[in-house]
Amino acid sequence: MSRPQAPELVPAAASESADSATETAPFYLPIGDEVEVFLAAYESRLPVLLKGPTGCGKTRFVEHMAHLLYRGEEASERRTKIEAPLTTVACHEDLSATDLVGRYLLTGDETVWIDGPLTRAVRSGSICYLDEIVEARKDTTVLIHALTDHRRMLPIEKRSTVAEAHRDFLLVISYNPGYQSVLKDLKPSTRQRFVALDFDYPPHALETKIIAHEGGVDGATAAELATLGAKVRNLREHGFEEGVSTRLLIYAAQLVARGIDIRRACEVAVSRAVTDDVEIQRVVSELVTTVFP
Amino acid sequence: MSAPSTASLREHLRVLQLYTEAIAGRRMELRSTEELPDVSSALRRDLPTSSASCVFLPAEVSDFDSARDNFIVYKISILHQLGFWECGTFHFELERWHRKHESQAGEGGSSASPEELSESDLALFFAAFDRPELARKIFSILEDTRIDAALGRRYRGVRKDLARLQSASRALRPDIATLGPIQRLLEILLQLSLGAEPEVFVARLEPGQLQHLGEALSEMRRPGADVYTTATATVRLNSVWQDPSVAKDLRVTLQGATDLEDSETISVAVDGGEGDAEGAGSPPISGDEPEGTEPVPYRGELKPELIQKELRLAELTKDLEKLREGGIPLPPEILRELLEKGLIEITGVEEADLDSTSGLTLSDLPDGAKAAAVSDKRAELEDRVRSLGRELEEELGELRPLRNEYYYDEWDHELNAYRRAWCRLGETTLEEADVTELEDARRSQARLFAEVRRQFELLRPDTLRKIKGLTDGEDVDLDAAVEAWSDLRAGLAPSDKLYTHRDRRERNVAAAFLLDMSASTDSEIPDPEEEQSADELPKYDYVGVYDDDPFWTRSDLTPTAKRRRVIDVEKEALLLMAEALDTLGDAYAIYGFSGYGRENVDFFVAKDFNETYDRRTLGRMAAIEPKRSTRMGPAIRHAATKLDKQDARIKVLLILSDGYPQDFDYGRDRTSREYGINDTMMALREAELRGVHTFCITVDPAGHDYLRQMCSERSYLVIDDIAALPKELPKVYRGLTT
Repeated sequence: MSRPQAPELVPAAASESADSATETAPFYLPIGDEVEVFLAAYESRLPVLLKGPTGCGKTRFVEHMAHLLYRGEEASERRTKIEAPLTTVACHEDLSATDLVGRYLLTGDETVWIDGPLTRAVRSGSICYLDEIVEARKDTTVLIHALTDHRRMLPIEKRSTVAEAHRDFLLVISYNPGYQSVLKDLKPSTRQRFVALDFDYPPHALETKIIAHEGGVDGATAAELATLGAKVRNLREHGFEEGVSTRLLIYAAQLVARGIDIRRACEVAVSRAVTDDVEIQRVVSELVTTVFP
Repeated sequence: MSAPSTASLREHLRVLQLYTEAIAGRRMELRSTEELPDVSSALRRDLPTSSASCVFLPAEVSDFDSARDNFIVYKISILHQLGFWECGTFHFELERWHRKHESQAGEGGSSASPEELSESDLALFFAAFDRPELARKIFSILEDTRIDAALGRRYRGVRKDLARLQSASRALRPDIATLGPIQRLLEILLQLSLGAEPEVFVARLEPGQLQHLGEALSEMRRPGADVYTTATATVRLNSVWQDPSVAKDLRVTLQGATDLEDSETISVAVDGGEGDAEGAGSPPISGDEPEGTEPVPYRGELKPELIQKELRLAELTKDLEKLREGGIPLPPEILRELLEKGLIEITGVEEADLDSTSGLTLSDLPDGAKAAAVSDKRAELEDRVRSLGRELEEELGELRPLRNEYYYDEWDHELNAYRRAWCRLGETTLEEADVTELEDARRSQARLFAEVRRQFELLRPDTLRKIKGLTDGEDVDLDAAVEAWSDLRAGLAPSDKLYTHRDRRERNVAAAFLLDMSASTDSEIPDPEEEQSADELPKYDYVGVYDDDPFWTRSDLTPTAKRRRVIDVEKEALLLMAEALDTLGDAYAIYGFSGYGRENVDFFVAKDFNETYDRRTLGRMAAIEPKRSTRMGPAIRHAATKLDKQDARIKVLLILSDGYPQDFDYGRDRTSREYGINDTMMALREAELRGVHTFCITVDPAGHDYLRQMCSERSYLVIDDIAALPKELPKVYRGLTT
């Protein structure tokens, strides 16, 4: 069986995002010294690995740092000229080296080489953020290895060339040690090329501020949402490792800000979202009715 | 039979257990008060209470007409019990309280002599009162008030429920008129704490008194109140009640007449009662009058000093363990103590630095001093641990070892319906045992082990692969397509291998082995070698003479050192599987089950899914021993539940048994196998419905009869020669998972 239509002309992996968000300063509240450490790592162009559960602010942190380094206080003149400071690639199990590096595509009568997101970042000198790197195919690690040691270069196999990394290029990867199976663990040879920053859900007071800011609710409601978050996370050992993310709490807050009753908002954004286990859903519902009137 | 609106703990156990842990933020067990040890006669079984690691709740609540409301009583009871932890009741330190309230000279702990040794500061505090029980009661009511107020502030969601529960509890309070004077005061305090209007008691109590009570309670409800506030208020109330002038007021109000001389106790001034009010000169109420009030059901009854002692015991035990390990480095407080006693001398270290001591180790101390100091300290700690342990055991009793309990339905084929939450299954992790025997077995069968491992290594698949260059497939290979297109343009014949296909033959397996640990697995299996040697050695000569004497039938005295039982072979087979699966990387767990009766199904964990195969798990596998009956249904349901939580594409449950399911109450008719077989069949079917493949292996030659009934034809195996089990099991496993 052959398919009638020609292959779609897609410039790169659909999972890549353009990240125009970094043009305006993204909201980020530091929990510890992660900003200082990242800046120091960037000064030496040390690749950074972000570890932490889902929805705790890893991506937001990278956006924040990209803005700071390319547009904000820490920006050099050279960096302000770089068009897209941050290239984010959400990795999935079919993401191959080709998707990252680039491929030949057809334009009219000829084949044209199109750089992949990683190659573009390497050439332009932006930060390339590979989200959930362990999900990607194994051949991608080869690219990472050459890029993350002293060589700082990207082999482009298809064209038999090598792209030297721009002075300002930095590779940032993230991974979530919680739910991945052992098979999907990072290999030591990969892991040991990165400065590792651990992330976790913010402490109560900070999370309150974050929820209030992002969700557009008053401080008291935000504090109660943060309390709910902490209580639900106490259940981490029972069936769902991740607990409830700050992101979900913000969703709940946003629903409240749009006039949804708080208990209902928590039900849809928290109880139903975190697990399919009916009993745990019930427990979460009981926690919701405990915290909110 | 209880009303349909009754909330039973059993029914809600898991939800409430998880709720407890979510609120507490740590492992906190939830148990029924029925499980309170017998010794603790002082703790009532109809009231919630706590120990350091447990919250006890009554088995049933039927106070309200709706099931939801009764459930809420549980919820609030839990919050209240955990409130003591959240609000720092057990952090009470006498010294800190003295410092905080130096102005509050006088009673409460001050009279405690330093020699008096108690491991609980709250116990010392209470002991310092003339009437410790009374002080404890006042303290409890005040502390309960503080906790309730804090809960209302912290958890706005339960505020309404709490208020409702308080007013409902008020309605159940005894009539004040019928109470003695002390009880009357306590009762009024308690009712006020439940939100009663002070006006109600105007006729009963002098306004000044009422005001005192009101003030104390409103202090408790203040946001900043802590356990020290409660302690101070306790002292104040206690002394006010004992103040002769107040006592006089009391007497006036209560129209009792009595001797004012004896101002020792609160009972001095008052002789209450409606009937004998006339009886002027009636003797002062002695300590005989019970100082208690009926506790409020949702608040329960707590002995905070016992929990403090439990915590202290844990602390001391930890210290002791540290010391046994060589105590490196010594905790600063122990060092300081040793220094003060002159047992050791430290040069070059300022005493003032001691608090920050962290690097000072025993090896820094002079040798003689080291040994003496440590052994002294150890002896003292051991003494304290022992006496505290004894004390606690007397008061609290020993709880049964921690185990998680689950309730499972059971299928009754006669009713053609499930008996709901019929079986109580307790899950315990096995204690590690000596592994020599298992290791011997592995050595003696080294070749089999190696062979199986190699077979399993071959099973290990390449990880998920996308196969390119196919003429047909699920996706177009973009790069190949571009190449074909340019070939076409260049006038070349393009390749038609443009498709990709994802090979999904990845291994994603979770397997649970469920081992029958019934008593019958103790039976010996004939050893071919032994049979031969039996001809040569007439070692059964004394059979019949000493047969009943346990000494002569002790297994370690039997001439053949190796007495292989069914369970030993089963263990070996499991060991083989464990090693093979470890190389393969499949997730697996090893469980055993036994029990006696529907209330006592035992489920043992030798290795759980998240554990690695190491010496610990090996030791626990060695601990698998024959126990009691074979109630298979609940064990299968439990194992299937555990498998269900695994994130795997193929889930397998392998059951190893040596006979049909039986238990003394597995069905009405003990001799009938039908009930057990039917229930097991249902349990297996339930597992299949949850996507768990089940497979039964039995070494019972008669197994065909009932296994055919219980399982589908391709999901069981009867092994005639038990010795073949280690060889057969890997084959079965491979067949099931590939």
